[in-house]
Parts: sequence; structure tokens; C-alpha cells
Amino acid sequence: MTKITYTTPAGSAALNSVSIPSVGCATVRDFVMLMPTSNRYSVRWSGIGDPTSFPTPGTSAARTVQAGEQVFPSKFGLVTGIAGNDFFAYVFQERAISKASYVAGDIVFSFDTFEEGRGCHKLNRFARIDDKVFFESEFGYHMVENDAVVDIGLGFVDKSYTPT
Amino acid sequence: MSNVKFDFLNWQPDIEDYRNEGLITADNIIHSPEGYIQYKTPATFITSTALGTCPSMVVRSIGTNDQRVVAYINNITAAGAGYTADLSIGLFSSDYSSIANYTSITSATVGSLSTLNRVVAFDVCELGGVIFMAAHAECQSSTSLSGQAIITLNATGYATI
Repeated sequence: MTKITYTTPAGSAALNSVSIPSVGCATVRDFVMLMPTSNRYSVRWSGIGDPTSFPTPGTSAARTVQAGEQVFPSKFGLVTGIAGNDFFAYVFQERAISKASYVAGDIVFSFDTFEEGRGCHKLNRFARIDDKVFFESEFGYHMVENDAVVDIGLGFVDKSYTPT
Repeated sequence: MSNVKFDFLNWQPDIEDYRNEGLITADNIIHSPEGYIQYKTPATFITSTALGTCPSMVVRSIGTNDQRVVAYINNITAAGAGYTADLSIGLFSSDYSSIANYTSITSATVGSLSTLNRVVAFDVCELGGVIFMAAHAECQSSTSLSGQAIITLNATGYATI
């Protein structure tokens, strides 16, 4: 297996802060996608290939580097997780799941909500393994794969489950 | 649905205990892609003040050197009727012996040292030799139950590795 070797910085190094306080982040293709605290119903992504750059969405500077944001319908609750990979991302709200697909151009990402009802009911209550994402909703445990949600806890497990 | 085997190594809590050759209980460990890494208590991590009062932390493993990226609340010191607390992010070596700190971050005045002060979310991702980290903590504002309010602390930033 090819490995990446990191060099431990000597001494102390400053964490370069960004001006977008966030509750979560994920790598999606060549972007870093954030869940900003300023609007918990939205996601915001960096310039392409540059996770240090977050120009204001809608500006020419943002369009040049394909940075942007997406606001989701509040009726599905807060954004609670982003499961990204090299091709797309699943954006979880409390009661919905949307797929973010890279389309380039001014739009950059296309967001399609394919599940309304089951979502990730708390921050980061999901785990991604390859193209499968396991998550916890207010109803129990589920897996999403190929834009379809499977109830993996249906029956014995979910009956013993109490959302916390 | 496709048929994929997920490798949880020798942790087999779903198989009955009798003649189970795997581990049923796994304490003080964090799952990593090639096995398990050791988890240590907050007192092991934080060398600054008020070590024993670190109420919450979240640990992630990163890189093949198995470094630990840790978000934690520390530097809790008395201030007036309450305390001040920092939400910090640190980078630690695999054996937790050395600290190449990513520090800074935010401070807040909190009401008590209880576990109600907690890191509620900590995400780490990588892109192009940069690790990006977002930590979020919630603290209680007052020692009196009637005056409770949630104070949020946030640490978002990146570092080159």
C-alpha cells in the first residue's frame, strides 16, 4: 500500500485560523467543504485545490477559484455531517440527505436531495467506509449507498434504540 | 445490496461470548485503519495548567506516523465567579510523548469545571499536504442552574504537514 509520510513539525506551530468558524469539515474532490456556524443550514467550500482559501461566495474572486456555498431547506433541520470522497459528497441534515456532485462552471456543485425523512440526527453521527456511509437517525441505524438508504437496524436493533 | 466484508480485526462483539476467539470488549483504544491505537487519558496530553480539570477531548489519528490530532478544553483557571477555558487543537506524536502543538484558539468564561463543558464535534480532513481541522465545544455559562446558558467555542484552521 502506498503511504504518505508526514514529518512531525519541531516545536510548536501555529494553527492558521480561517475566518469561517465551523462545526465540521470534509474533503470533497479537490475542495474542503465546511459546515459554518454562521448558518447551520448551509455548507461552504474552498477554492479548488486550496483548502486555505475561502473567498466570499458570489464574488468574482470566488468564481475564479470555484469557491461557493449552498443553503439547504430549513424544514429538514441543521446540517449535521458531510461524508466526502474523491467523487462526491453526502450532506446530512437532521431529516434529509443530499448528494453533492461536482459539475464545474459557476455552479461548481449540484445538490440533489434524495432522502427526506431519514437524516443524521446529531452532529457527525456517521461513519464512511469506501462509498458506504453508516449513520444514525431519530429512527435507528441506516446505511446509504448509491443514493439509496437501507435500514440496517430494522427490527431487533432499532427496537432497542433510543435516540440521545 | 452489495456484499462487503468490513474488517474489524479481532474485535468480535457481535459473536456470542462462548468460544469467541476475538475481543469482546475493547477499552482505551481508538480504531485506526491498520488496527488499534492506544487512547490515553486527558492528564497524559496536556502539559499546561489545570491538567486534571480537562473536561472533554476528542482524538483523531492521522498519517502513517500515527500522530494524534486532539481537540480539548484546557487552561481552565479561576476567573471571578467562574473560570476561563480554552478550546485548543494539538498535534501529538504516536506515543503521546512529544507535542508539536497547533495551539491558539478561543477562550470563554465558563461556570464550572463539570463535564457539561465538552467538545461536541471535531472533524479533520486533508487536501494537498494541508490538514484542515474544525472543532466545536459547548460550555455552561453559570454555576447556578437557573442561570444556565450554552456558550460555544470554535476552532477552525489548517496546518501544513
